[in-house]
Amino acid sequence: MKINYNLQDKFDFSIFIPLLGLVLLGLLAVYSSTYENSSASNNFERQFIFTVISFVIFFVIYFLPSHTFRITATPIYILSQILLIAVLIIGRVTKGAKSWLDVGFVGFQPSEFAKVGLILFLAYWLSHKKHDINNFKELLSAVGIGFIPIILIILEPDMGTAIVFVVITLVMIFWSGIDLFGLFAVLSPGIAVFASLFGIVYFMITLFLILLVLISFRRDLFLSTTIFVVNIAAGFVFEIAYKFLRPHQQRRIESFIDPYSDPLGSGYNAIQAKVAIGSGGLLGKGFLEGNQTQLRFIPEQWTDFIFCVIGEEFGFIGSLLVLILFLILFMRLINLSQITKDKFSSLIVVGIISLIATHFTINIGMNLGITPVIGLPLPFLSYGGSSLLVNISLIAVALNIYRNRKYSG
Amino acid sequence: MNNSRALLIIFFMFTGFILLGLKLFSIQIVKHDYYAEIAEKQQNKSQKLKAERGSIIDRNGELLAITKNDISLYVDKRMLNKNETDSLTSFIASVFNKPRKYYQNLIDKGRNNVLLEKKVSRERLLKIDDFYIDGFIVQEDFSRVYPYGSLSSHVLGYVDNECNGVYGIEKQYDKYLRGKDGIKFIENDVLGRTISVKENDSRKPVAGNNIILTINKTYQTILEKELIAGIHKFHGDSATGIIMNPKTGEILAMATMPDFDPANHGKFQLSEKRNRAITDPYEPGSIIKPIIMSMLIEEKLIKEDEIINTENGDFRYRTTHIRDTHPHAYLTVRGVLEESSNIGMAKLSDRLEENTFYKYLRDFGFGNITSVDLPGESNGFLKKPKNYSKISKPFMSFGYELSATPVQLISAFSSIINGGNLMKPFIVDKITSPDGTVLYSNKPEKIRSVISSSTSDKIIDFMIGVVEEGTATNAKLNNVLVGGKTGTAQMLIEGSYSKKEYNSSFIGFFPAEDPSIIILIKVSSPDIGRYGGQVSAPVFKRIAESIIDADLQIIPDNMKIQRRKEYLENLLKEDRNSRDQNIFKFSNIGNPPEVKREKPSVIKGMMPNLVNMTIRDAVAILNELGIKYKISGDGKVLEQSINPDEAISSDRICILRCETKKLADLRLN
Repeated sequence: MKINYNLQDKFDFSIFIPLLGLVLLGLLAVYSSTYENSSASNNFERQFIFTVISFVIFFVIYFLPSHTFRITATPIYILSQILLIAVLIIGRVTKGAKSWLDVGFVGFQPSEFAKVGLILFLAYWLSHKKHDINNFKELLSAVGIGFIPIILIILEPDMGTAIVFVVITLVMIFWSGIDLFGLFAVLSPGIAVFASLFGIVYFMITLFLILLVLISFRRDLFLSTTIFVVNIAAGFVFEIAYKFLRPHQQRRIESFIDPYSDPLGSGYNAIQAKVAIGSGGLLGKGFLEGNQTQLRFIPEQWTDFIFCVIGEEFGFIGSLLVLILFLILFMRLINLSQITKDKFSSLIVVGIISLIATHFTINIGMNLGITPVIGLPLPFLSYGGSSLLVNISLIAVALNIYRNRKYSG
Repeated sequence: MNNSRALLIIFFMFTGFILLGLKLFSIQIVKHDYYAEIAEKQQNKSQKLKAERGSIIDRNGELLAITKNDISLYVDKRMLNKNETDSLTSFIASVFNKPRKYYQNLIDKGRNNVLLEKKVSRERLLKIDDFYIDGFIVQEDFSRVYPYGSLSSHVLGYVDNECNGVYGIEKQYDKYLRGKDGIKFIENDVLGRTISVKENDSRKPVAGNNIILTINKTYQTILEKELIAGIHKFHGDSATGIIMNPKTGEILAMATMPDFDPANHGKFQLSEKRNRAITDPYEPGSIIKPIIMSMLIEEKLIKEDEIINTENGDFRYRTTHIRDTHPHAYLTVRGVLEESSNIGMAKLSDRLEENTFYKYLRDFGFGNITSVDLPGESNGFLKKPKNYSKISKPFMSFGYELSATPVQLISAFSSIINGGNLMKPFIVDKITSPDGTVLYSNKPEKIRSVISSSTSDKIIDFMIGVVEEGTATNAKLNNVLVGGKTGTAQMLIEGSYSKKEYNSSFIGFFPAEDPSIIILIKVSSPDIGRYGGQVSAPVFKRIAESIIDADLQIIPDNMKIQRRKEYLENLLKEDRNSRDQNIFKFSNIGNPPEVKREKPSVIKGMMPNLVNMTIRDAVAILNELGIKYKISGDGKVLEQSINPDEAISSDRICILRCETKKLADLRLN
């Protein structure tokens, strides 16, 4: 096979081909899980149309001039915050969350659009020369940029997406060159919240450890105290935030701890997903032959549990193929983040990686029963127009950055 | 730029991938079987298809226990269309004459599967034939029917609601009778709805085998009738009887009265359902004397005309007194048996070594089960010589300090009159598959030779004397020579011998020249009369007479006695009437419809026309003519495999095809 080196120089096939492979696998899985299901019979056709549209937009974005993202970063961020507020007021409630906005004949999730806004704007902000991330005030503003959409999304409430935003914000701040102390200041409240999940004793021990670390940094006493207070507050805020969760989400967190405690209730999906994947074995049961899928043991499998269709019908080999395609994609994107022409582009790429990787980890984790069922779709594979369009567009942004990596300006 | 941070991200990423990969490996490869099994279980339902239980048949082909293929009606609420509920309930209500609300309530209250009617006759289903609604399930649900009611109930035993054998032949031969249940695998979705039936994995049920007993239904009927009559006449508590062929060990009849109704076994106490002929040992009393006598003869310790001092009926023996009912000063050895002298027996038994004495009793089968093919047999009780007291042996020689079940006694007794061979008693003649192939056939089994045939001849001679001029003259028959021995034993009640309660036994055999029938009769605590000769011997006599009348083959030509035609016909008539009643009483068809039955003209040896007759009538006629038959279906006879007016040969089986529900039309799920 002849490789056009010139073309490879402009267009990274080792990003595009894994993307294409994942999208195709996703289409197969959506077809299999919906073709005999009367309530979702149009889903494959719709997903197919979305895929076509997404790839058209992919190439539009790919060919955009390199400065487009810098110019549009702020307006997109502002617009996406407005939409997030709008959805809280006039949104459609699905599965206990107000996350859908109806525009004409299609529904659309502002939180998906807000991901683009956050990545672009945070990259823009963090790459600006006058902002020094190791200045505490600057750090706070950067965290603030992330927190506006996070709060709005928690209000929907959509915990899963909120977590994704947290990760994107943290990773991008990390990437922008924060020092260890700053990183600790940002991360420790998260650790405190996590510890508080396991009860007051663990929370106390964690707080004590945080205190020790803070002392060992030998920083400004006022700063250290503030961080410690934030930590304490975070633990209690979580209690309140937990109450904000809808009953079904609370149950999901509980059932994550012991999925078999309520096998027909909230732990049901986790068990059935494992059963589907586990019964697939090495080679799987074959396309359209997965009886766990075909007999509809997993509700709405085409969205969050699309991975177990592949696990059941294509077996360990198929599941591993999905993991490897993602791995190639991530490695190429990390590579890209090292060779961009500027910090702004690099931060965008890292933002994209953290977005997709978070979705990927939590979703696969959900399917394998190692993370709670919090309703995050698997990028490129799960059914859903908004998500597919946004994810493919973000890869297009990355490839645009790849195309322009050698030109400055 | 940011090289170290990139490395950190790469590190996390690889760790994550390795962890996910390992987890995936653990679920899909390591635990694959576990999850595959869960998937299999929740995706597949299996439905048991019950096998038809085999029949129990007497030696002449009379059906003693059969399976009736009833049906039960269910509703699967998950498949039931809400708006069809009304038409379903009103339809069922019209078939079973119950208010529609009754079924509506059942369906409302029930969970997934609701039972509407249990075990209804297929005849009722004819109306349901064309009725089909999603979720309405018609399922086979067999009933066990005992056409003759309580006849031989202790032998047959009974089954539980699921048709599993619980007692008697039903239990002992359960694995042959039960057949092999079939199974239907159904793939279902998450709501439990049927997606498909997996024909390949499904298995059709295999009907059970038939058990053919050595029991002769006619003998059994006679035995039970006379035992009841005996209880009534002598005001006994209960009575047990066994009829056996002494040469082979075949049990021809076995009964304990009162008995129970196996179709409604739940209404009876366990003690009433126990087959006491094999489970309850008792002290036999004097009927053991011929057995002891046979030892003495075999060991050449006595002469027939030897004179024994019988002490005028009261003999102070060591620490106790031994008394005779019929006091004599002196008796010959033969006289000791004929007059049943305890004193004589006690004195004669002194001549036997304790070990020899014990060895013989063991050899005759005392203290050990006979291994008859019925469940729950008891060992009885036989003391070992080392445990003998000074008076043990003399007391055992007239039937105390040892106990035996009726079946042990009759087999021990058989051995002293059949030439000296202890035969294993048995009650199952053969086992046949549903198509008639013989799978297993029981052969007479000699356990051991106990005494010589000359001793046996001598003891038969003695026992003829007992009946002819001894204590059992009440058992004497016209024209047929009978031998036997009476026995009266005080009952052991709470460790001491009762002065009022007796077990009155008689064991007798005929024709004495070459015994082919041996009968043991035992009546417990008769109020009128006490002695075996007064109570059980007359019962024996009536049974023996009836058997001789009913069965021409039992007595050789040269001894053929006057047949009492009337008696035979009466017997057959009674038999027929009771069966007709029982078919309704002991099955759940319901009350017999009031239909006038035409008496068809029947000629012996010719096949009658049975078409359009009810099964009951047809079976009655076939039984009368002694034609073997098989019935398929239910209701009126549509077809018979032997055409009317054809000559009947004994090896042909007439198959009656009756109106039957088309199975293929039944949508079982």
